[in-house]
Amino acid sequence: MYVAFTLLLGVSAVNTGNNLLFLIVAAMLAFMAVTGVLGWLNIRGLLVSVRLPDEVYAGTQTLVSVRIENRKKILPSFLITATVSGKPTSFILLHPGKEQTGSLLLSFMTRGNQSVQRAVISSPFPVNFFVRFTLVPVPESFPVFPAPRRLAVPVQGGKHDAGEARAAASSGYDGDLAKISDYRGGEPLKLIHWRLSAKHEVFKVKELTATADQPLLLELDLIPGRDLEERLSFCAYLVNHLVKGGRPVGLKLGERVIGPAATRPHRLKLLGELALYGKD
Amino acid sequence: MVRIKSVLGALSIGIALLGYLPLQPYLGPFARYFFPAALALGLYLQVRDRALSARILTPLSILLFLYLASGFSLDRLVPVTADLLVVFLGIRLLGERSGRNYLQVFALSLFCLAASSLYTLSALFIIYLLLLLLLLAVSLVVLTFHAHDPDIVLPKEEAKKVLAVSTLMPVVSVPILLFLFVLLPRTQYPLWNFMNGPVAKKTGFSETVQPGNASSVAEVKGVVLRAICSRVPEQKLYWRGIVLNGFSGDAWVRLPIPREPAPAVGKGEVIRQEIYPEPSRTPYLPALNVARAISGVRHEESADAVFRGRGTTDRRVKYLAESILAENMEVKGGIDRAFYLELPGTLSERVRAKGRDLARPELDEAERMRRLERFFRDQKIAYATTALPVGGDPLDAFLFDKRRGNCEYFASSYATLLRLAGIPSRLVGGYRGGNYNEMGGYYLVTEEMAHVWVEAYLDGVGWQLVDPTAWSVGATPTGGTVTGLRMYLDAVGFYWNKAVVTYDLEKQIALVKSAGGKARDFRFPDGVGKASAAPVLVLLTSVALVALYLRRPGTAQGRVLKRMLRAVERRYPGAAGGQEGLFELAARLNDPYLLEFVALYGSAIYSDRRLKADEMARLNEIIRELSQHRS
Repeated sequence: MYVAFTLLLGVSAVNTGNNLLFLIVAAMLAFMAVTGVLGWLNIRGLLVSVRLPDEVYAGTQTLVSVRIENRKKILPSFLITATVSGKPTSFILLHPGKEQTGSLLLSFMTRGNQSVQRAVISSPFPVNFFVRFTLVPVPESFPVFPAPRRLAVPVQGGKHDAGEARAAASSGYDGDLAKISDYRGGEPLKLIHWRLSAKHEVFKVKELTATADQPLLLELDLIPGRDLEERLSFCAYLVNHLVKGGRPVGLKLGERVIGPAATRPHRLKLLGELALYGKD
Repeated sequence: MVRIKSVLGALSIGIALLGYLPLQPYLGPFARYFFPAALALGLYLQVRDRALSARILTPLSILLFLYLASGFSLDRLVPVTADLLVVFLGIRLLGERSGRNYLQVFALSLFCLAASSLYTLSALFIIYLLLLLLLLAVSLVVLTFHAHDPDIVLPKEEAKKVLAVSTLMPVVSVPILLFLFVLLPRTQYPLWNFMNGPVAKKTGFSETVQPGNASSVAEVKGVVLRAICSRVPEQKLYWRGIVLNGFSGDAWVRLPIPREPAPAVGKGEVIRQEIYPEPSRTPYLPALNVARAISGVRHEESADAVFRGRGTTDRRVKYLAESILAENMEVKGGIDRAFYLELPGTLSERVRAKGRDLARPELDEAERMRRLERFFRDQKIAYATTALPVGGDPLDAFLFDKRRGNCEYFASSYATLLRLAGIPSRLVGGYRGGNYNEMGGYYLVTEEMAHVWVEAYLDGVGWQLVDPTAWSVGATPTGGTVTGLRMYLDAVGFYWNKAVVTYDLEKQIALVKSAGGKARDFRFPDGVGKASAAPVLVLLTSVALVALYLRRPGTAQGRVLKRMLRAVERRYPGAAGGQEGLFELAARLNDPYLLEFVALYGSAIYSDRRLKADEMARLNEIIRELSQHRS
């Protein structure tokens, strides 16, 4: 519309030879040029990076934080919209030399190594006649874990539901002293409480709680499921469920065996393996 | 905290005012009063945060359009359009405050300002334009925020930044504006002419002189022309416009000149003038008496040193005149005496008797003129512009009864008496005097300086200038120097006209020519020898090198990437250069060299470290291999 107006005035200026109309046309053209340059500068010098949480599951919405740094020295950037994987987040004003963080919800459909690769930076600034945009690379790649699917299996351990007493479930050999009971035969000799046994007629043995559950090796090929993806989903669920419940879990993927452990880094490692399994 | 909504409202009111004010004096009464009323109502609605609905405004617009458009005709095109623009602008202020409506307010205001340029070419225009440009720039930026979120509220600091950046735009625009103004294509003639009509106003001397048809002469003020030239003695300040050489009934008119041999030539000092006339309906081009040549406009020259512009002079033009301040013009080969001795239809007996008295054969021409001058002085005629003689024979009444009149009476009675006395004569219409503007170095000639004088033809002398009005009682010398504020104001207006309003194709061509000429004739100033030329060259070269260096990508990484992309472009013409990322490009082209490059390059860049020397060497190697490899 602006261009049409300028043309109309330009035609009347030429028609009438009226220099004041020429002045108006010159002003409009100059303004157009300046807004163009300013709009171009506005989306220049912006550095985009995204930060994802450690655990990203396929098919689940994940809150991603988008950080934009305005690397220009003087000019602020106004009304910037950064679109990452089709989801926009906007910033009203980015001060020069400073950075700001916004967030958006992303969901990835498939597991595996994923990257956002680039973000679309767009802004209608300075005048809302058209929206300028530019693409900036986002050098971020991250594994997307398989979507966990609940699998009911009679495996001990695992995460307990709220309110369930944890210690009641298991006894073991290396935890705290839980109680003293009579010797029933078969207990290891090191558990016999010799001092108490001397005062009683029967041997007394120490019953200790277990500090760790029995390690468990999950073998992907043996996990039920219609296809690989379903098995991976069940497996991811089991890894999460069991490790969070404190049970050391290992993984057997074909010929590859990853030893059991019950730590969070280990769990992420297992999920990472599941994410990439069969993708190479 | 700054509410964008209220800022935008205030700005749109300001913009609408800037559209209305320059047009206001030329509006019809309805539009003139409708707009302030609408503005007041709009302000009230804005404070109340309400708006009139489109169901009311649309029918109102249609009704007002019909009402105003009913006055439309081809010669009232501009006034009707101006009224409509202002009325629509007013209506827009009442409506809903949406982005679209704001844009309409802005556009209408701009059009109002443009329309005002069809009425007046005053220098105030540039002030309105710059103000409007400033407000429009800020408003459009604010409008962009409004479009993002109509209820947006900015902290003060941020609002200040927005304001700073948006005021930067018009400031930067101004030099570009000037550049474009000079550059925009001009045509020699307007393609349509009707839009220019209202600019012209009725000015200038009249093309007929008939004393006695009005009892008083209205004193009109207004600028006729400005002429840049050196100062001229006061008594020589006669601006020659038209020569009236015959009669139509009792009125002096300009008749076709009998074939006179050659244009009259005068002798004396040549005065060059650059004349900027105000638009008028008279085609005659005034210049200092007597103009030898005129250039700069298309014109016709007559043998009696009258220059008539071709086409209308209702546009602002400029012309150059060369004049010789001579009191007489010789005519080689003589004149058609009979033509210049014709008499008006009615002459009173007293006038005829006076003529017979002068025409006695024993008196020579010089003596007749002396006697006639004495007669005028003895009559003690007063110069006046009111209570002028009218009726059947105004000249008789002027000379013998009322003895008062303006220059037209003096000149026409004197010229008539000269003809009765057998001396060929004619009237010259133009301007007498001029205010010299010291600051601008030009004469300002105004309407009230319009004047008529006489030229008498004497054998051996030629056409001799005689100003009988000077013999009146109480004749006041005109002219002088403009001083004080008026001088400055007039000078500003003058330079505005000189620089902007009269800028045309011819000046554009001249500018290009002179720029080309200067470039061709560029030489080092004297005193700058060849010895000092060398350091200048070195300096220029180093500046160019620095500029080139600065244009290079800043880092070694950037440069190697650029070289790689160039190599890829050579190998796969048209493949690179899209919005594609480097990795995607490599994957798509599936080129082993590029893939290796990307892997190596990406591993360094994306882990945010500099390329190591060996990596860099390998990258260069890859580029070399890629360039040499021919598939």
